[in-house]
Amino acid sequence: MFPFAINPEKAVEELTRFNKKLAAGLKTFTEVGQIESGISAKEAVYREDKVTLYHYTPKVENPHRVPILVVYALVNRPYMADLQEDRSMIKGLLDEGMDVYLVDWGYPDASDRYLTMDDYINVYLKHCVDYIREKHDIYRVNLLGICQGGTFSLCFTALHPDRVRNLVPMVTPVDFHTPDNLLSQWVRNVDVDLLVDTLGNIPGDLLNVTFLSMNPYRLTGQKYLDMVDLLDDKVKLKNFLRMEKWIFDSPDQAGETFRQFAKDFFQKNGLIKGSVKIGERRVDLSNITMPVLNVFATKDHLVPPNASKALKQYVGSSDYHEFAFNGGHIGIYVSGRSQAEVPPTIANWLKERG
Amino acid sequence: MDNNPFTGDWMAGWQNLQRKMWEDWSEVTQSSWSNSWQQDNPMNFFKDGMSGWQKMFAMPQATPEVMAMRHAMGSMEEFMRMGREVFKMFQNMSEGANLTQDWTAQLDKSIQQAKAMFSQGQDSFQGAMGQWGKLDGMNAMMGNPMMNNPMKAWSDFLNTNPIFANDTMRGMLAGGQASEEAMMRFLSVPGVGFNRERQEKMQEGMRLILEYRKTFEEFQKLMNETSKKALDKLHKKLLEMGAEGKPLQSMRDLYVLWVDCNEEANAATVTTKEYNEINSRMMNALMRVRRNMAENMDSAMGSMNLPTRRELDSAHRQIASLRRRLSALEDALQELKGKDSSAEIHALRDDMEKLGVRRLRDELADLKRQLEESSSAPTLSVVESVGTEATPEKSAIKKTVRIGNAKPAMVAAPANKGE
Repeated sequence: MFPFAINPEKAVEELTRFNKKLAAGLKTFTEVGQIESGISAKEAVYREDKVTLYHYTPKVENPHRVPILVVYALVNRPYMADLQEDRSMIKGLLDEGMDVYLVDWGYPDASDRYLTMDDYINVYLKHCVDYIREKHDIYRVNLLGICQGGTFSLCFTALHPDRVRNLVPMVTPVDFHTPDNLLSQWVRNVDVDLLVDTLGNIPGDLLNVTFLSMNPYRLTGQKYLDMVDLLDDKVKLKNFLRMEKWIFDSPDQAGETFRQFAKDFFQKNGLIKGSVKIGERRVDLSNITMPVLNVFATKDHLVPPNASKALKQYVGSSDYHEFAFNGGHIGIYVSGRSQAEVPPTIANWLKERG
Repeated sequence: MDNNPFTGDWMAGWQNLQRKMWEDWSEVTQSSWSNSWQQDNPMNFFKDGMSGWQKMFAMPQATPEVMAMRHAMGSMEEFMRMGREVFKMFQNMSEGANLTQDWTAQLDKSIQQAKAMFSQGQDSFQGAMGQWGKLDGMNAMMGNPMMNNPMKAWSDFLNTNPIFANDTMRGMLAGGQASEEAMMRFLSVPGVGFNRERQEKMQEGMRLILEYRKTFEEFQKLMNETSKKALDKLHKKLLEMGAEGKPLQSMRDLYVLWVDCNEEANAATVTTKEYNEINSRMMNALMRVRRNMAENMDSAMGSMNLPTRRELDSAHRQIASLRRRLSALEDALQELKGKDSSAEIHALRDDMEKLGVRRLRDELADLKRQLEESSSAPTLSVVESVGTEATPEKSAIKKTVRIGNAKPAMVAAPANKGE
């Protein structure tokens, strides 16, 4: 049997209908208005250079007494965690009675080229943690690190275990050499020194192209054809555009930080080998003795589950738990199901541990 | 409706589609496309319509909605282009003999033609940049950049990002065989005289460009092989659909199937050592070109007493160093002020909070109040006992309240909600 059941009339009708939808959609585009993101009320409470510490307004009168500090990655922007009213991990945590802070690394420019991981972890992050400790008159805070921010959180906790009460790494790479880690394979033979020495800061566009290359046909072609189906629904279109904004809102990476992260973590897999040094001190994951809730996504194509689950073997904590979310690297923050599963799981786990 | 592809006139259908598209876009854009050239090439709407739309609604250049619409227009253009080629293919097939029996041979022929396009002149830089979109028939459907393959994404990136390319570099890279031979001749001339060093630097730059060009062509060759594998997958799936009697029902289905085949082939390629090695070599070669150009530019700037990248880097390095020293001094100052010396107190307070001492105090006050209130009643006495476990939530503190001669009653303390 011929594998096409399409006659000329049917094909013309289909393409005409599709074309009409796209043409009509032009008007919808002009009507969606400002694409806002980051919906929860927050206040900038501490600033240092381009780094800002935000405090979200609690939703309950007496929030949990130990605040959570959310540490986002340097890649993309942190409003992914607070994207829209019905897609916000931050809102979910606030609804659960948690007191939430977030560190926003800002947009590095050429003057930040020489910022190192030491600066990010032992200066900026440490100062944010100390601000919270002082403000709340507590000795230790809860840390929740996202992706690369999770790796930063692991380093910080290993170096300053006396400042962290509970640790929640989310979709965090730990073992960078699992066979299914495509990003790691791609960067393995790149001359990182040459790259940084040539470009200075690493352009966000370069990272975007790299991520898109993992599913180039779907992400640069089919996705936008599928978008035409949303054009008669302003709300859905706006949600699509909000995600687009986030995907391409890519800060450049401070050159020296990228150099160390790419070489020591991606190329040498130093975090689990214990060979990473931040400043003058070696990062030893066995120093992480406080409770750990390791959250990962089972369909994560950027940070494969095994890259995260490796943490169990290396931390010194006897109170180690895992939460496997059935979804992807982004879906864990923005899918409908994640709203019902992820924040309550994290909040309850923290509440049980005081 | 009869869905047999060979019972209608595909060319008449295509003309009909063009007319309808023309009407739709003319209506949307308020007849701003009233020239015959546009009418004959309705697919140009997707390119040209974008700028008209932006002007009409005064849309800025780089908002998410403009970027997304631009992508949508691009995808639609390629979807329509695929449609045109399918129309053309079916028209050709319906003019052939014994269609119902020969379709596998026809399909095989089309796939082989498409694969051939990836083998002819496509491994050169010019081929990579120039041949897309010049293909025809079934070949165009399979080989044009309708799905924006990694090669196109990469070349778009190079072409639009000033960090990676500029007009000079593009010109040198796209120079063709003649320019490559000219470059080789130039490179073979030894540097002599007053400008010897400058000449050597230029020669080095050209050598690096040729090296990059070579790696780019290797990369292109690999991706062409990947495209051929995608075609094989498509071929196989279409044959399976025919054998199972489950034909594609729409143009969109064909598009999705084609995307799936490309993604599968791409996924298989990008996980190989060969891809990693070639991709890295191409990246490293590009960086060497870029660095050489920056160094030459720096020399030129320096000779005009203008700020150079080297000087800026030096200043930025000093700023970073000063920031660190300042931060360390501030931390030391804080320590001297005694902030950190209170760490132990903080820790003790923290532990006390955990033990629920505040709640115990409240309870004690409560009991005292009860005692005071009951002091006027001669038969009432209160005895209290407190659990010894550290965590109040786990061991509810129990109070024994004795009234007169009655037996003791056990009352659970309220849960501590503050923890």
